[in-house]
Amino acid sequence: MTTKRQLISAALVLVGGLAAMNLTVAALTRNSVPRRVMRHARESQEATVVALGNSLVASGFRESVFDSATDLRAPRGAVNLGLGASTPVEQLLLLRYALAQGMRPQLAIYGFFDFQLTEPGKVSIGDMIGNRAMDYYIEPSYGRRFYSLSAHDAVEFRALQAFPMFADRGAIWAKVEILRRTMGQQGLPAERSNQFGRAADFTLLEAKDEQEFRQKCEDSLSQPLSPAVRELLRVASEAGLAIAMVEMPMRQAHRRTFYDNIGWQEYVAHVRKLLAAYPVTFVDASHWILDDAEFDDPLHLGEKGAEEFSRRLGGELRTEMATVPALRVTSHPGESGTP
Amino acid sequence: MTGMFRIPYLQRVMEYLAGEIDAPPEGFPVALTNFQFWGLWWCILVGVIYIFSGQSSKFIYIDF
Amino acid sequence: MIFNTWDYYVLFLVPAALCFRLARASVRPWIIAFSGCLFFLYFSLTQLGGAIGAACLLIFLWESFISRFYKPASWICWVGVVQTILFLVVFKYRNFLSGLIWPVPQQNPLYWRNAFLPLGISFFTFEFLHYAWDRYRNKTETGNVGEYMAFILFFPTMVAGPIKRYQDFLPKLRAIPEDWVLDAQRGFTRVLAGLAKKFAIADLLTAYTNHLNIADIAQAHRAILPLWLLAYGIKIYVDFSAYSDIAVGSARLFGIKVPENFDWPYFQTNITDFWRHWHISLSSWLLDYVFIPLGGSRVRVPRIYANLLVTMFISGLWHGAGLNFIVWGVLHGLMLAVHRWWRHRPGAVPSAQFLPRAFSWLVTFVAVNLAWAFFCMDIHTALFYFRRLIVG
Repeated sequence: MTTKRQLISAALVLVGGLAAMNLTVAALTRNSVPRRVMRHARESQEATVVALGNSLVASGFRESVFDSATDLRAPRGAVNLGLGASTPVEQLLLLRYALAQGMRPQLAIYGFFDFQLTEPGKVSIGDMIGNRAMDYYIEPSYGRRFYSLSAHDAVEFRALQAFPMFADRGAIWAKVEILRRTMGQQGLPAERSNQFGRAADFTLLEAKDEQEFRQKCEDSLSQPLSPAVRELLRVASEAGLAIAMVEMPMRQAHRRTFYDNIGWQEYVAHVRKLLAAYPVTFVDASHWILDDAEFDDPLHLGEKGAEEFSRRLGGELRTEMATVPALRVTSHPGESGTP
Repeated sequence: MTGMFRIPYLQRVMEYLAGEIDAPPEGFPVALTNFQFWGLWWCILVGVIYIFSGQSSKFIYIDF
Repeated sequence: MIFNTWDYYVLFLVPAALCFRLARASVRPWIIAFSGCLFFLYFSLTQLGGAIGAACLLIFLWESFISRFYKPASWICWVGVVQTILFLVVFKYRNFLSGLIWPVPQQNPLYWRNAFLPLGISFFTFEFLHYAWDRYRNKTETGNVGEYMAFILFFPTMVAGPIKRYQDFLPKLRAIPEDWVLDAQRGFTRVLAGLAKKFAIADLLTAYTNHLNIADIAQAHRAILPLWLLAYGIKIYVDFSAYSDIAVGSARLFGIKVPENFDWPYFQTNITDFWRHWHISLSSWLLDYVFIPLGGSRVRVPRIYANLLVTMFISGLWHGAGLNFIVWGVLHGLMLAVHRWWRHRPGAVPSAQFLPRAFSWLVTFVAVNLAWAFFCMDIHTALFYFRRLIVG
């Protein structure tokens, strides 16, 4: 007959094994994308320009091209801290992290698209995987203030944040997903993909149809700037940064389907009005890239498109580097600089 | 031919490891029936579950 | 989708099993019944049907009440049988059956727009039917209401079986489990093994099986098509047997051994043995409550074949409310009939030689896997699949 002691010893071995697994996951994910961005911030302490945003910025902003356009020289040039699949909360945490590492930039470039500036931070614990795992290890109690987690999720967050197996599970699962995609591709025509995933998948991030997008524009007219965006602007201001809010380039096909309507214009006007309370420069770069072939997928700029965008942004922001920040709306379609 | 006769044994081994039968098949190493082994086996199963349990997550971005 | 949630283990399995172990014998059935009610309400509200789905708990309560009046050879047992079949027809087959007459939903006066299935309906109805019929034939005792409620509300087996028999369950419910340490070790191992199988094999194979649709079949290279169907055959076995592992392992934590559902079905060398090793609780249910009442094998040969076809027709229909499931079931009925004829032809002696047995195994394996095409795809898509596979 088996004994309690034997069962307990098996359980202890399991607990030990779980501890070892946590250490293994921590080791395997030490080079995850958020950690690489953090390392980039640590290694760029002399940078004078910091770019923040999601994958549109990560793929669309070229440091060296921007530096050339603004006569900057490394290491005092620009640093791209764009992080794919991130939200303003993670972007705020990265800015604070960079400042805490001793970076003293003069200008923060914040690239955004769609309703990013006004989306409320309602998430569940299931959303906080992948690159958003950084919420578990960069100032978790600070970052959590900006998420409205349910009571159940808040308890889970607090209990599990210290375990790499939980926090970095997305990075491990991504490897399995890549295996699945490789298996699934066998016997079928090759799909286009880039560093972020399958190109066709990014259409899933678009609105279902024009109607849905128009409704979203209307609903967002009553939304204030999200708490994370407001805090990011406050932190940047306090650190003496000039701030440029950049509406990122979009494909012309995308623009024609969704954005060439009064609802979107009203929303953009609403955002500008909200930003007027802050010392920011607003840059409308949404129409800067006219050739859709310069996009790698429905959302992200390819190599050439990124260079063109970075060069033009450098040109637009040259003067911001040396002046006191003031609210100026630049680059309306039809004004100078627009083809 | 010998392999075919081994299949029933392998089946019993898998059933024992999966918790389906209580007693190990004859010829099963006694050292692998102690509870430390079961703790290790549980670790392996938990590890497998952990690695593969994210497949219901909808991945759009895969750059982690 | 319930067995792979934390809520199942943390909110239900562990607390209920612990309470069951610690409670005195008279209270134990009520612990199962109570936890089963909570389980049904919780997962109905969160996953299936919402408040209306949760209200279907009343079906269990009504069944617990009416079952108290089942007596040997009583007409009330027939009421139980008929009402259970009505539950199935209304929830599971209403849209399918009415759709046979009015194919367009908008023109179907009986179409139920927000149709949902109460949690575990395919399984608990078969347990209701078994109990009513066996009480009618005096093949099982009544037990008390708590024991019967424990039987029908035993949540480890509520969602995906195995389909239990009351006369097997009752002694185990009443017994005082002796070796809780061994039960805990075996049960925990079984649950973990089931989860590992489900995630690492079944879910991974969906990378192939998700392509079993018209668009992907049309553009795929022909050589990959058999792999996709084979992947489905493996996936469905691993998926379902994994659920059974978790159910059996969960029950073991209570100290209750429920019947096994799979016994290496893909290793069998003929279709009859396949069905003795695949979803054992369902095939034995169909044997006892469909095939044998129809006459089984004790009638003339043509009638035996008809009985096989009818039984497998019902099996197909039980698996899903769709013509493709019926086709799948009938195909298996035909295979069983053919095998029966082959086995009983004059001078037939089963071979013990390796090559004939290997060949038998191969034929069985291939036939079963080809039939899965009708299980996982609608008829039109399945036929298109075979056309592409054979003709190109």
